[in-house]
Amino acid sequence: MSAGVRFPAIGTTAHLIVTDETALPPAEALLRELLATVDTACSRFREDSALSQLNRAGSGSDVDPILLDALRVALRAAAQTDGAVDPTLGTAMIELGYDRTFAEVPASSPLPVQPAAPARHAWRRVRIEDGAVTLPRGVRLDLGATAKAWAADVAADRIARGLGVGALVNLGGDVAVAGESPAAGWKVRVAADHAAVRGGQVLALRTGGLATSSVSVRSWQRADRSLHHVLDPATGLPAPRVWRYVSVCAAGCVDANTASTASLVLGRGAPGWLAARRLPARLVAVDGSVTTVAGWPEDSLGEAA
Amino acid sequence: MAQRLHPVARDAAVRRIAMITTGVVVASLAGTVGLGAAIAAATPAPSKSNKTDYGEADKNQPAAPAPPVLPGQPVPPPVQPGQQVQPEQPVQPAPPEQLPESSSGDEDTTSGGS
Repeated sequence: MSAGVRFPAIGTTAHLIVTDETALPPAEALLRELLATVDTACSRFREDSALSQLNRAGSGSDVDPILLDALRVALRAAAQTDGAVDPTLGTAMIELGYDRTFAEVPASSPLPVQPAAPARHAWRRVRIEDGAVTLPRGVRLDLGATAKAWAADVAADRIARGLGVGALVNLGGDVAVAGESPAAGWKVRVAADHAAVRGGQVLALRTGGLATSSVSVRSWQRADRSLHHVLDPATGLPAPRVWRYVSVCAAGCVDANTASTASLVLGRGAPGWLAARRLPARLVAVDGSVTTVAGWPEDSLGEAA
Repeated sequence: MAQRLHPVARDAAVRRIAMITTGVVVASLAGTVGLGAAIAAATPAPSKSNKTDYGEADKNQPAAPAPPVLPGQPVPPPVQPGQQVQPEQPVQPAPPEQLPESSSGDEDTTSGGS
């Protein structure tokens, strides 16, 4: 019989479900340990994290192996999307006001923001060699677009292999499944907010990963400007609001989240981009209209987007 | 000065010319077909990336899943001096092995923005 647990972690909510309730305690312990190591390595909000140290110094030798792996995943996402998903936008994010955990970011402020446009494709000049990392001058890394999804993939895989159970790991809406799923599949609701209990659509997921990127949850106001956390690398500003949220299903959660984030940046070009890669996706526009791609299942309930 | 051939000799010459001509034509055709096959084998099929298709995914095409990157995985050996290295093409985000299905009822969890 399936059993699950929720707890706060890495600035969001972790939700773990396993198909055998007796495996839940060791699975939870495994997940908590993994998230602690990822936080220590990759959090840009901790002064003592390996990432913060690297960002301050601009380079590092013998870098934390967890950070190295997370960085490789982020750079691969940048290469896959030709820079639409870019881990070198840390400075722009800070200049826009997202310089602390989101819970601490003021919802509104009269102070205007005008960040400088970031260097284009700076991710191509990040050097990794023999455990050492060198960043382009002035670049600060932000792994927020890929680190959660990567952690979800790793955790689900380790739990399933190590404990011989089916596992679902949801980190702030980034969902990874591994092992044998329940007979009817894992039931996952896709919606604008990972805390939603209605609206959107319910799916049965059996393999891989599912991620949803949204412009409406992590948003804040600066002077007369409405901001959100998915930046356009070309401008360093939030991507224009074409889609309110995009959900993508892929072979893994990292791939799904890479595609969903890229979709928000690509705007009207997203459906074609997703279709060319045969990635099932559901895109909800700001006016509420829904576009589906590459075999995304029809909505049997027809709930509000 | 041209010499008029005996009819028998003339006919034999005509047959030889016909045989040679036929041989040349056949050899040329074979060479053209072979060259075309070689070109086709060396040239990849046109990409479908410009095609906007919002329909069903091709279920006959198996999707290669992207394995998760695990800490501690072995790194590839260093490039030797003089070794030619092809630039690594990034693997694209991979489709799922199984498409999700429509469902109903209470969900186990929610995928949404956070």
